[in-house]
Amino acid sequence: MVQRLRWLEAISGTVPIVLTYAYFPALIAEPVATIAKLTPFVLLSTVIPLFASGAPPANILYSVAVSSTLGTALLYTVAVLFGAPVTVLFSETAGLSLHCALTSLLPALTYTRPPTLDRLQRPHALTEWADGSYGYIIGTLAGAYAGCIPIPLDWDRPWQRWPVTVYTGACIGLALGTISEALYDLYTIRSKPKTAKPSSKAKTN
Amino acid sequence: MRSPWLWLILLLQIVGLAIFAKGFFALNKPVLAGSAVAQYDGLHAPFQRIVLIVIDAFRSDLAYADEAQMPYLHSLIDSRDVLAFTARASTPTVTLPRLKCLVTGGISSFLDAVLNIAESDTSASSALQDNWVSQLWAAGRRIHMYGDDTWLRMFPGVFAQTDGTSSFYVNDFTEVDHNVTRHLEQELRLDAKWDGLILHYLGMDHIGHLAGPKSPHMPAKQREMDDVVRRVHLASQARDRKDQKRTLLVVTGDHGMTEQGNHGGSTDGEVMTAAFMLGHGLRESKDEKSNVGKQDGLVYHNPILQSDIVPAISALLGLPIPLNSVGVVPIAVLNKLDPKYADQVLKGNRLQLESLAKQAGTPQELQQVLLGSSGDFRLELLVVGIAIQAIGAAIAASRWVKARGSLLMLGLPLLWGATTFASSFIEEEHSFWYYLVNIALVIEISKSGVTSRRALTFVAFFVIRHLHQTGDKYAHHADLAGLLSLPTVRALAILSFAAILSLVLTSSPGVSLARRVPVLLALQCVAIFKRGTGSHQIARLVWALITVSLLPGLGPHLPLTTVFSVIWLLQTRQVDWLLLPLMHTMDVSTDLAFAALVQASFFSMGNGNSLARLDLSQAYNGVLRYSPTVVGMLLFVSTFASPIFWAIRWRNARPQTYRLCALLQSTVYTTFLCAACTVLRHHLFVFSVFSPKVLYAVAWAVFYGLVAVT
Repeated sequence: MVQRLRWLEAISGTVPIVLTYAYFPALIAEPVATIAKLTPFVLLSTVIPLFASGAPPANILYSVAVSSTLGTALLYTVAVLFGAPVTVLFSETAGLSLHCALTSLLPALTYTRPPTLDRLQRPHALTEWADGSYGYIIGTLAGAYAGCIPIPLDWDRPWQRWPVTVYTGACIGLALGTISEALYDLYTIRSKPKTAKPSSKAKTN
Repeated sequence: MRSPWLWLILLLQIVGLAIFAKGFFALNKPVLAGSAVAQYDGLHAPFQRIVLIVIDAFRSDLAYADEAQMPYLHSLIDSRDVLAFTARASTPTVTLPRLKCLVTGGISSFLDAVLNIAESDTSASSALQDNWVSQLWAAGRRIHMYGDDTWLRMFPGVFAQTDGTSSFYVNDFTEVDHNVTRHLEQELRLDAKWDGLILHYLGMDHIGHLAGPKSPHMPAKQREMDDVVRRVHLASQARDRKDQKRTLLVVTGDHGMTEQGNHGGSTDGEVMTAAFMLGHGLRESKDEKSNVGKQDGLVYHNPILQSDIVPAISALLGLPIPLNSVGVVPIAVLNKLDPKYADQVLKGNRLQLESLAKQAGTPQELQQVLLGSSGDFRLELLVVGIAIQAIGAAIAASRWVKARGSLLMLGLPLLWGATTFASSFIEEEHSFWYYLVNIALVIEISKSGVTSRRALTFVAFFVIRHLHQTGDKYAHHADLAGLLSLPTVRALAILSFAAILSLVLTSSPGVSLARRVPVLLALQCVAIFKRGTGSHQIARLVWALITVSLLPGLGPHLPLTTVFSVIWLLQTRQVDWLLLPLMHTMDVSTDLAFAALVQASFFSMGNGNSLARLDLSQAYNGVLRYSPTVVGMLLFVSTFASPIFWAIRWRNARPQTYRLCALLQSTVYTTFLCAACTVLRHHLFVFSVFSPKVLYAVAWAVFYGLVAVT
């Protein structure tokens, strides 16, 4: 039976930000190379709780494959639509998109197949599909978007260059999101003492 | 629901803003009143007559670059028969404050930028300090002036002969200069009577506003100006030979222009002007060390401040340096003077600057004198203005809460207001709004599902935001309008026109033909007008036809967005036409989305928070004679064309909430902005960033006010 281990997800959700903090100067100096270097660890730390939760390895493999290819392409498009540079800095945006896909789409896809085109057009389609992985998705994507805020400031610092703040924001968002999800879980368990069932779901489409 | 509350809130905001503006844009009190006394004892001044030629928007490269079509000037530079400078103007780079600097040598207040626009205002002269024109006049000399009538406002009754031209009829750049040059035949005669001649040419500035510095009209204008210089120079030499007096010829720009041809801000293009002096003895010998020929970006030959021109003129004419001048006599000029005389000039300059500095009491005042800034704010007025606006905003907020309005729309103006405390977020305000539009679109898409219409909305907005770069930091980056070739732009404009045409023909089946025909005719008129025939009647006909199409009593009329689209097309440049069908495509329904799009669409047209971004090119469609009201209204419609579009859609979608919501955004924001300006009034950017933003905010307050009460 699949049982999401929120506490493990919270711990592994802090790995990217710790790594980013440790490698911050390298991230500023050579963003693409550093993101590439950190990606395997990000992947590892995201995938461990998924295995530990009892999800079928086939599912996990599937979502790794999809999120690192289609998912990355999708998030790249979204990033451009939301203001990422269009004609320059392709590797930077690609690295950023890959990272975000791994920490947002990968966990969600493991437990829920992506919605069909038909279902997608119904109201609240996205929130329904994302249910259960809010911490990952909202944390990563909102954090990344919040990371855009320092960019227009005229401080002219090297860390204001694309994609440093957005990447860092995504990592911070991930940590906050997974921790909040775990705390929320704790709160709902505590407030329902008799029903010991945790709030994880094993939904399929 | 036009409740009286809306009127009250609006009234409070307007009164508060007016009081704040009075305290913020205080007229610069002259530091020293009166006139300086001559200090050169017994030494004859090198020159007895002066011709000042001001070429409006005379950017330095338009004179000095190799490609600049100024053969006479270049020949003089080659033979070293001229003192050539690049004079750096200070902000705001609009005519009135720059002319004040060219006569007083001082730095004037930001308010002059506003007075620059109000042609009939007389306070242009009221605070005029000691200056060389008044000194000449007081000494009984005869001065003639031809050109920009700003001079008449600055010096009423001073000029013996004059022919002023209005500076705001931007469409014309030939007749306005011809009106000046036609007097030259008489004024350049050997028996001319003047001691001072001021010529102010506006043609180059108008070409800039209409089509930018690279316009095909510019070379001809440069040659025209060059020829004027040649004629005046030769005539002056002839007259000098006849009566043994000497004429000084000073040619300068008042400000420069951006690559789009506008001005008002502080970029290099706007502040670097060409300034050169011709006259007997003003030449450099071959072995003399000189800056002539040197170039660094837009700085050619000898770099000086615009203020330095005044002490130079004073020295060469034997006049005392005006009391409030912050200028220093340029070394290139000093070197041309008789050594004993030069000594006196230096001493005089030093004494004058010292006495100016002495006027300052506290170190802060002294710093302001040294910086040339006019930070003379009246704090009581600022605080009262903010307080009154705060009351209005609080009333708006409480009405909103009482009407169970969404908290998001209460939080938005607070967030928006918070951004006013960072000058970057004012300069790059477009980023803030594009950011918020995307958030609004995400909220909409999560509620409604990922339909193709929503996806299209995202893509449409993506194109909209990339059409024009704006702001300061990335203004020079590529944008769609810059990347597309001219034929592509034309093709897109035609496609956009066709889209609106089909909208008029096919939308709202219940509308009668009688309603559609005037709109179709109006569209046809727009097409004719934009093709370049420029007939004023056609443009006016558009407005008449649109009014006819909206007359009551003929059944339902076309959607207001469709009808307004015709006005939109009339009042915008063709390169922007692509925006309109894209905006029609966007499908939004929340207050947040509309509020954000009202602002974002303003910036998407290339507008921004700098004065230089004000586009005057559409403000004269259908105008024959300059009238501040008509031109002002056309300028308003053309600048706020897209926000008006979104306001109409907002009204259609959210009729119950849009009025109060709009007013809520506006009042809370202006309160914050005024608070930020007060707290940051000694900030380095108070005149280059905050002051222009206050001016724009007043225009926005008018916009939101109209949205709320009409």
